[in-house]
Amino acid sequence: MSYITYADVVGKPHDTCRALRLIMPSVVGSVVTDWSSAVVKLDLQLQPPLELQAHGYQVEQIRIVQRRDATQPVPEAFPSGSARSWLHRNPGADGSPGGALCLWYPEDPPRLCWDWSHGFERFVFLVQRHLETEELVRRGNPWPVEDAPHGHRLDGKPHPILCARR
Amino acid sequence: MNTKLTVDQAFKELHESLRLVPAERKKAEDVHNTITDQLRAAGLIDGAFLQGSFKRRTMLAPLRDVDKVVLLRGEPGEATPGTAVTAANRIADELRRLYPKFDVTVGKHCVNLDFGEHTFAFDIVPAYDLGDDILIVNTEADDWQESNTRTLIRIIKTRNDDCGLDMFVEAVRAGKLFVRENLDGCVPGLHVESFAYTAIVSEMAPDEALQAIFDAGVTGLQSGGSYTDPTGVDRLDTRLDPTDRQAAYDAFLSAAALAKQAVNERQAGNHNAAIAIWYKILGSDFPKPNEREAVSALWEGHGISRVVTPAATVRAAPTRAWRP
Repeated sequence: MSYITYADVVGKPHDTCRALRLIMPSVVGSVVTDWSSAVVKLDLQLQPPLELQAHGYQVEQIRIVQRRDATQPVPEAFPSGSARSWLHRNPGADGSPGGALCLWYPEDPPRLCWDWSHGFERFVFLVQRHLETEELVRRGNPWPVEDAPHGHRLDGKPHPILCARR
Repeated sequence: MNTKLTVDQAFKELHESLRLVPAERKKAEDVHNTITDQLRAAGLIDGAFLQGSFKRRTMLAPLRDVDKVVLLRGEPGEATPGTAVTAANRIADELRRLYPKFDVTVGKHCVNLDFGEHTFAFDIVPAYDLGDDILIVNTEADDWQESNTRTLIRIIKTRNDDCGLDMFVEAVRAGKLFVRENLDGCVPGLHVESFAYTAIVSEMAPDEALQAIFDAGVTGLQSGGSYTDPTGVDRLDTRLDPTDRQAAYDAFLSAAALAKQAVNERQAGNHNAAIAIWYKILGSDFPKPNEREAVSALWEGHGISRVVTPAATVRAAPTRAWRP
């Protein structure tokens, strides 16, 4: 069951911020930073779970951007803070490493992707899961689950899913 | 550290770290025997015995203060008002003669012999033997007062034996660690032993034993609550400063709630989450949860906030992270 819909995010972003804090106690800060006819921007502070706080994982700052046109049907998540290495993050428009997090492989079947039918809170969960995993990788560990090879295949086909259980 | 531990294993590691090093303990016992022999040879005492948390085995490492009672030569009838200071000074003078390089000071109930800040010190209590109870010095009042320290030693040992495998004293040490980490030691160790004595009457899982100590602490420390030392003779709650008591109540209440959650997590098989909670309660003496397991759990359907709010879990399907 999803709680927060596309209409909620673009139509009632302040309520969305409040709802996120209620539904997800890991959201320890949430504020609307832009709400216009073109875009909604939410800045969130995400507290790591206790297991990771014990290892010094810090509260993550993330900006979530939802455009209100057909060019971007799903939100984008832009981490802020000091420059850090990223394994799965899109390059920025100018080729810099400051683009949105790459949360799923768009060529994967819908069951392995997020869409609005899952609810916005699950998108936020995906973002936090991704952020904690990036920190794990920064500390010298492998990505703990199957990820898709970077780039596109030369034959234009999707990267095959290797993990049998999927 | 990425070792996968169960809650029981984590507590076992904790208890190992809180136990006095056996060689150090043996050294302190040897020094105790030497001091006893020396004071006896000087004609001042008939005997001595260890007391306090060292004797009851509820002391937290590292070893620092060792409490002992020296049984003065003579009859209890000699313990009259106006003789306590003289008796304490007689012991102190002999210790200064025997150990001229070390500090010897007279306190309210004991003579302190300090072998240096990097090793242990003895609090030596001059007393007359009444058979089981003793009469100990009170140098502030220059008088004597009764102590049932032998009874306390005995009932703690009995309770520990009843609970098996040192479970009781290990739980007390963990409770004392909580006080040391969260309350700057403003609740004396005997108070924690009292909570434990009330709460633990038979063998329990180590996490449930500590949870029971917190629950008993909440009951005793709350407004209107009261508690005694484990022998039931001395009321302890009134000895706490009201500000300290309120701080202790708040800390025990918070710990009790977290401990309940930790036990629930362990019972549900979520050992890493439970360990994370105990780490939060007890600090860095407790083993850390497993970092990789914690991140992997996020990919296996566990919610990000499961540890602190079970009812408000948000989960999501797996995805394959990518980059163009």
